[in-house]
Amino acid sequence: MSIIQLILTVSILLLLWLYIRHFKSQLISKILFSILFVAGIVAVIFPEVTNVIANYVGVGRGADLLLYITVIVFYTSLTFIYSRFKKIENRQTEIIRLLTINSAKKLPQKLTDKI
Amino acid sequence: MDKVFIIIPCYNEKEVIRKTILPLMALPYQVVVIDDGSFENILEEILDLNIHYLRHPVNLGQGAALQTGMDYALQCDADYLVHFDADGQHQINDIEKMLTPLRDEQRDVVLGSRFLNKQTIAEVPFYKRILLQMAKVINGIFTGIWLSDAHNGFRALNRNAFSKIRLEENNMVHATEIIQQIKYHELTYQEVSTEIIYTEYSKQKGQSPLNAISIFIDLILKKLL
Repeated sequence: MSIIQLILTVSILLLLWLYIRHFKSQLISKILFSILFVAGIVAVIFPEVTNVIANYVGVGRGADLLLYITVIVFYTSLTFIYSRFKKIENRQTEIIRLLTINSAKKLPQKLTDKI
Repeated sequence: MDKVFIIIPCYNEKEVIRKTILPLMALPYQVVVIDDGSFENILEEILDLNIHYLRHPVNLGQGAALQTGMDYALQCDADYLVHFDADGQHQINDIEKMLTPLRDEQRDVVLGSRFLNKQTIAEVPFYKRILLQMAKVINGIFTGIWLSDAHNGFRALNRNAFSKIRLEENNMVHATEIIQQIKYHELTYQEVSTEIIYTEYSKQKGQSPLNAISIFIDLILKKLL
């Protein structure tokens, strides 16, 4: 096993451990992610496997296929994160709006009033 | 007598806010200032005026401030409301002109435009004219409604309109969002010629051309997602 394979394998195992440990997701997604991580380790240790799959779908090298998949996964996740972010922002806005309207002031106020 | 609310979103316009509001005090309108989390003390400038003062505890953006104003007007049983800029570039004399189609022709929304009258067109700086022409085309493509002035903050709405329109874009994209919602809710609308006076102050505070690009990107993102 070369050094890069060692580094990648350890990184993937670490990520898997972090994921299972810290994400309170459903069992089904835990299983799916575990399969994905295992596939990752297989691809690292036996790179020829990715070549076979790549050739099967019409891509020259396994590394290229991985790159294409990575790009798609990256942008899909980005979209999910963006919409999630937007949802949180909308919720925050509604809370601030409610606070603001509830504490609306009718001016003029007497100088003795506390502002 | 109908209840007209003037909604003035305000972000750090301490220098001019009083000058903008004072002439409104003589008119039969309710003035609502939405302080969008300014770090300048806006309240101390207008403490003695007969107005409604609302403050976002943090800065959310002009679209959010307008929506807060609309929610508040709804709660106060307003009949009509007017979006009015804090920097004083809109003319008080135009307000009645904007309200007339709402009252007499039962329009839902009246939009101010600086491109309906030769004289007001001449007052628009050259680079802004080009920028706004581009915005007009982009807006037309995105909303299907072709207006002569794409980014005029001067608008008047009846109760039907402001109870239906719901702005979710907190930033400047709201200008296009409003037009999208006019279409979506099948509101009737009309453009009215209004004057915009570009003071040194409003030029400084106004949007930079770069900002226009970021609005464009936001629009595309919104359309795609």
